[in-house]
Amino acid sequence: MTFVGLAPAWVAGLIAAGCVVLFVLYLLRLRRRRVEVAFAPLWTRVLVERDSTNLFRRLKRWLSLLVQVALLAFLVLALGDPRLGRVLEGRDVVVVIDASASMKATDVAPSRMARARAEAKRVVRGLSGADSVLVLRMDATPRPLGPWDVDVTAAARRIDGVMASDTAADLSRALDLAVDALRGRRHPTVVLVGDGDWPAEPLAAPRLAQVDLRFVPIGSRGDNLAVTAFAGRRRPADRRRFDLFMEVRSFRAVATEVTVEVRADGVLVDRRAMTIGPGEAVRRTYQDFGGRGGLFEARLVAPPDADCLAADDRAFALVPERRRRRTLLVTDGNLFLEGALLADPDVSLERIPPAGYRPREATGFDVAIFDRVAPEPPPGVRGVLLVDPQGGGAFAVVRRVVDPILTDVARDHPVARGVVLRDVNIRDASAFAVGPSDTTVASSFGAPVIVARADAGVRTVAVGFDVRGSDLPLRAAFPILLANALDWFVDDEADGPLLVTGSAWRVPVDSAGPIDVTAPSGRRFAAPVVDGRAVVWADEIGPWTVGKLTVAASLGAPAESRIAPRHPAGAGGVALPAPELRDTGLRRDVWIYLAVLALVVALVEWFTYQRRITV
Amino acid sequence: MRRGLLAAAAATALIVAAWWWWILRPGREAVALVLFGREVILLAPRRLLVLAVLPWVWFGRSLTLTDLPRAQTALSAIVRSLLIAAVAIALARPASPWHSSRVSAVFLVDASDSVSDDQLEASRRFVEEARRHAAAGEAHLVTFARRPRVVALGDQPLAPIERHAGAGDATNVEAAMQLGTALFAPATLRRLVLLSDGRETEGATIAEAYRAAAAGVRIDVSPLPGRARPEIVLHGLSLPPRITVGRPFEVAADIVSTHAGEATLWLEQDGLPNPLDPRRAVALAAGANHVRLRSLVRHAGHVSYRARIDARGPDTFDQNNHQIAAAVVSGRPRVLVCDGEPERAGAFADALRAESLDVEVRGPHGVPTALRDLERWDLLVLSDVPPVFFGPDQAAAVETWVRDLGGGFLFAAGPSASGEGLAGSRLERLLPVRFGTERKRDEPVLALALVVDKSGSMAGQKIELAKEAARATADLLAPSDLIGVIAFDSQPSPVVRLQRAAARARIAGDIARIVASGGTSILPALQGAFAELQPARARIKHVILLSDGQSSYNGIRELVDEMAQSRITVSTVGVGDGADRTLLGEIAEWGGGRFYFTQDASNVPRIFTKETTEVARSALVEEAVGAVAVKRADVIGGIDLAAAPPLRGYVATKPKPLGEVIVASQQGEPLLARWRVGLGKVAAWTSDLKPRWSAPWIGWTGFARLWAQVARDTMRARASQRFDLRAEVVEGVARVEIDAVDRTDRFVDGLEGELVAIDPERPSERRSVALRQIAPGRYAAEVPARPAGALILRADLRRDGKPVGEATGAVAAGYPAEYADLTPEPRLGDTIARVTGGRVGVAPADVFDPRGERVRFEHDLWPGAIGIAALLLLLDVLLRRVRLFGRKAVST
Repeated sequence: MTFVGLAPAWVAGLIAAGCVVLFVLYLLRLRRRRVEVAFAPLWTRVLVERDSTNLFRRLKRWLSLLVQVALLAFLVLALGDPRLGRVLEGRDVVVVIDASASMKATDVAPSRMARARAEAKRVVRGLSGADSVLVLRMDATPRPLGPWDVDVTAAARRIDGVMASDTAADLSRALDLAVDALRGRRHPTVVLVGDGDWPAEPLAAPRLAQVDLRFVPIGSRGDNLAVTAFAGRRRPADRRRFDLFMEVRSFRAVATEVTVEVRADGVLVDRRAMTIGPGEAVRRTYQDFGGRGGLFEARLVAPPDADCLAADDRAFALVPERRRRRTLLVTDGNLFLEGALLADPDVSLERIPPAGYRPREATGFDVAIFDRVAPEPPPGVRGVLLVDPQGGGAFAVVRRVVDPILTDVARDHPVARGVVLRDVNIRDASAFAVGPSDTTVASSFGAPVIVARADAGVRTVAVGFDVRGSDLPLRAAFPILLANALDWFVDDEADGPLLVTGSAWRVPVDSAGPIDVTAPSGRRFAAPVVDGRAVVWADEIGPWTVGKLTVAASLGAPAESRIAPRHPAGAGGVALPAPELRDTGLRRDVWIYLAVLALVVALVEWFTYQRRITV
Repeated sequence: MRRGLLAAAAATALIVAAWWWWILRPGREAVALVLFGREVILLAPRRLLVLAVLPWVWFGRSLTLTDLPRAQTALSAIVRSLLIAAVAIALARPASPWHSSRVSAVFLVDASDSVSDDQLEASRRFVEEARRHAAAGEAHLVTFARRPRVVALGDQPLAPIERHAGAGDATNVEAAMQLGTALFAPATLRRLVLLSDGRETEGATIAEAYRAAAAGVRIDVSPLPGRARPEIVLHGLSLPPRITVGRPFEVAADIVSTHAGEATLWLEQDGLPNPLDPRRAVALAAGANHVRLRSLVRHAGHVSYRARIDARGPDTFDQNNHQIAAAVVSGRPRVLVCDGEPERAGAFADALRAESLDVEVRGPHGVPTALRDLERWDLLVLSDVPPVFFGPDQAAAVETWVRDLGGGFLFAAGPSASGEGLAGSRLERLLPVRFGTERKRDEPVLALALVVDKSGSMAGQKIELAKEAARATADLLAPSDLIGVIAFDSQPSPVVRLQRAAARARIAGDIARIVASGGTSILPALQGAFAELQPARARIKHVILLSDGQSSYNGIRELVDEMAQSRITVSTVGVGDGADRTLLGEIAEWGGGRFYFTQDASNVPRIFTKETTEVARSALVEEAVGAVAVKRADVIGGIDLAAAPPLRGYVATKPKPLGEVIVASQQGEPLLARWRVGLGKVAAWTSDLKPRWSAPWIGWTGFARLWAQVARDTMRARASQRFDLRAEVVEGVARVEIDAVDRTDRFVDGLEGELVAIDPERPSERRSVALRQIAPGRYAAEVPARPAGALILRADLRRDGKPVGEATGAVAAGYPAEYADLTPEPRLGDTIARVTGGRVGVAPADVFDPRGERVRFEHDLWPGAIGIAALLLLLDVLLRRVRLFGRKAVST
């Protein structure tokens, strides 16, 4: 036994001192009251009888003293906060509480999360005094909620703090963390508390071979309807138009009538009722939206008893607004270039001849395009397009290729996305020397003809041939290539980013310092900016404000919407057993038992004293 | 007393009700109060129910027999009540918020392979110096690589930090942070101190940093001193986006070196030296080096490359001297023809080549044995391959290839691939027709006449062996087959009239009666056999003639020709030197049979057995067969089968219930049948593809067109569109996205499809997952990927089961990212320090500096309550032992 509170010497000293005080008090004889009586001989007889029971009275006094000493000892011992030694063979138990979005389901009252907390506390309270427990919260980023606890109350309080997030569960990470925490500990045990619809592989991992895996099921039914996909994309060749795609899925065993609404920046643009069959996924594409884009929200309205999880009834799609790019074209005249740029409504074009170009005077431009010249770019531009620089500028020319055929195109580069350059006829072209920060966008038998470079702050694309000496301007690929290049320069993405909770976003911002972020719940914090992008960890569904930008997160995890409870299996396909709750009754915080004992003795002694059984 | 009892009960009920109303009903787990301007929290408020005993203290007092005045007993009751209340409050776990500026720090030391020994020692010194400023229990150490590990900090100086043997090839800062969070001492300011090179390869440290910040954990960062180690890294190996069969291209190797030096670059293609440029001596400059090697691919399908650089100078790690790359190679559809007689497969191969198919012809040993060998082909043709060359493993590989990868399989039976050995086999399960069960019950297939010489020269062992051979022959036949035995000398004597072989005992008895005597005259015996067989109803009619002597030639040629016209074949067996080998050989040739000769009569039974087995291959139908189109199908569209010459034979089969018979024999048995197996198609041609049974067809104008159409119909379906595929490997998962945009610039929506991922080094571990549409024209899937390895990715997108488009691609990494870059990366540390409000470059002495911060924690107040209870106990005893009131006399 060890004393966590008062030191054992203090405990012994205080008990001894108390005993002395009590002893002294019990040596005192209570002065009797003087009572005048009318006829003394009657009372003399009483006094004679009293003398005959003197021995018994002395014994009663010592007994009473002993009771008081015991009472005092209980209280002082409690002050020492004694802890039992590990006489029992204890376990080290990691309680993993599923706090993913599916635990917000309300198929059990008041919610799965509340039930999970209650069950987890029941598990913790059922542990023996020799056990220690680590409470671990599992969502997209599982983490321990505190140190190893031997204090059941402290562990229970940690469990009370577990709230379901809007992210998907990552069982693999949670188990890895549990195994790390249990390494080298006694009888390692993991108790999983959740709805159990987890992938099978992590539970059968060899790392868990030495771990006693247990499971506490939560949830009763899987009735749910969800918007499992919602996203917007601008069309590759006509960035002014975009499509929206939505998938609504039923996780029920019966057909359900639902209503789906689509809002654009909060304004209702579509509302339709539909019937979704059992387990059916209804996919709908809203084609040919025109306009500036914005934030779209899909909202599913279903009967409450048919839809136990509300978190996946909303999804958001962001179609970034097209920013107008102030573009400087330095050329002696190139109708193809000018025509393509003027046809782009997002381009504000200014043309000047090379002779009139003064870099220091050309300010406020987003993009500079140099046609057959390669002077110093104006300050502050975010992108430079060099058309046939002919060895000028930052791109060294290795050789001139006559009648090149573009054999290889880096289709995954943003500049080449959706661009078909097959069989383009080119009179001749420069083959560039490619540096470490360069990407070859198109090449002719290994000779780089279109190269992209991403240097700090400025992006450059060099096209090694005069477009007038090719049939490229006559093809659909030309405006797409130009639009891609301009988008890449200013970091405009043709596709709306698919932002889902449980992931780190990297949102392009203008600021270099920390940026203010407001979460859908109103929580505010400053996000760091790395390489021109604010790094935000998104754990809430809904619209976020990152600096001046509004982005939005959806759950985006169909597996999380599948909320039907399931009993998972471990290695060998054997269903995980329930935890064994020991009924030892004796916990490590002994002071509580001492205090209760003192309480009982104080009460009983009070009655015995009043009835003169003790004195 | 009764009133006291009632009053106590009522008061108890009142207290219980208040407890229920205030604590139990709202389900309060904790109750916060403000007492004397100070916040107090009851952590176990339900235990306040103990206060319900207080009224009984007063009830006890009402029963008192003590000799104390009422005032003193009242005072005593108050003190005892307070005592009990104090204990009850203690049980309710009162706590009060306090503040502390003690710091608890967990040092997270990166022990992954990218950290040098010097850096690790620097980390140890940092921890050792910092912990001098810590109190007991306030400093903890976690070392990490792929996974974290707690290292106990004792009183002794810290020993050199151990690396994580076998797990140093990754850096997971997130896991270390999570484990560190479980080690903080209670009621302290929580600090994580990260000592790392910042090269995170696994985990989501940024996310964990946000979580840590929300939990009040600050992360200080001490970047490790970076001193470059000599290192050569084969950083990348890239292939052109499009590789075409037969067109040379360049494989680009990016090599990063910390120093100038010489090295040799080796390149392998699919495990063999690169065809054009297998090695190159490279003069490396410090920094980035780009080396290009020429290569060439001869087969469509996929190709993988493995490059290795051997440095002649110093190089710290060998792991990063390898790199791999993989790509899909486009080309014409490829057909593999495996034929039992490859030299006779030319006509079929030429027919396919004429239709722009790449054809490779192999012998029966060339049947692919593994999935990897099959992957490059679009159609596999097995033509007249004996079943012995096609084992269960090959059948399994073909089945997987067809079912899961959409491969096409054309099975052409031929004489070698008759029903025997195929019936019930795994191969047969793949085919749309069934072998071996085609024979109709009780219908004789074979009518066999044994014409046995019993002349005097056969006397002795010869005749006995001939009789034994005849009996064995009868035993070999199916019960429904017909057998007749004619013994002859100068005249034939029918020993066994043509009858069913089921009556074996009687037939054996009749044969036993044969006795050798007389001369030798073959013609009458053959006439007798002809007379027996001609009217018989059997598909195959055959004569086996055995003789050991000489006979007249007259009339035999004419007779045998006549028998041949009646589709009766004749084989002959000569025994001993006396046999007329010339005559017997000619009879066999005229009769379309085989001639056997043996000096040793003991071979006769074996010869009869072989011959009977040969003839009795009952599934073979070797006769002129007309092909009849029984179903209108594109596969035979534009081909006039009615104008096709007859085939010379086929294997009798029966269609399976789901099999689709396109062409049948005049007897109604399938000639060409097909069905779908999983993603692929299988067709069965029950005749052959070469100049045995198909000889008349080879010259037919429709031959090439028919087989080209069958091949194209059966082979792996090629989608009309190719879509872009992008993939990246993140933490062991390949995330694949496919952009489906059609030629009119519209997104292609509503497709179904699946993604097949093949590891070129472990082709058996292929995975197939469904693609899911996530945005307009965008489909996604995830498949597991090795940290070092390649994946060939192939996606087929369909609408209503019909191919719409396909996408191919590959991802590859030659080694774990841990070895890709060994220079420190400060941005990770900067970011997490900024997210959590920590410091970059923290000094050891400052780790435990609270920096003016305080942490709020809850201080237990229950010991105070228990102490008060103990004091009240003493006071209570004092009140009992010392009379405070009523000392003066009392009058009665």
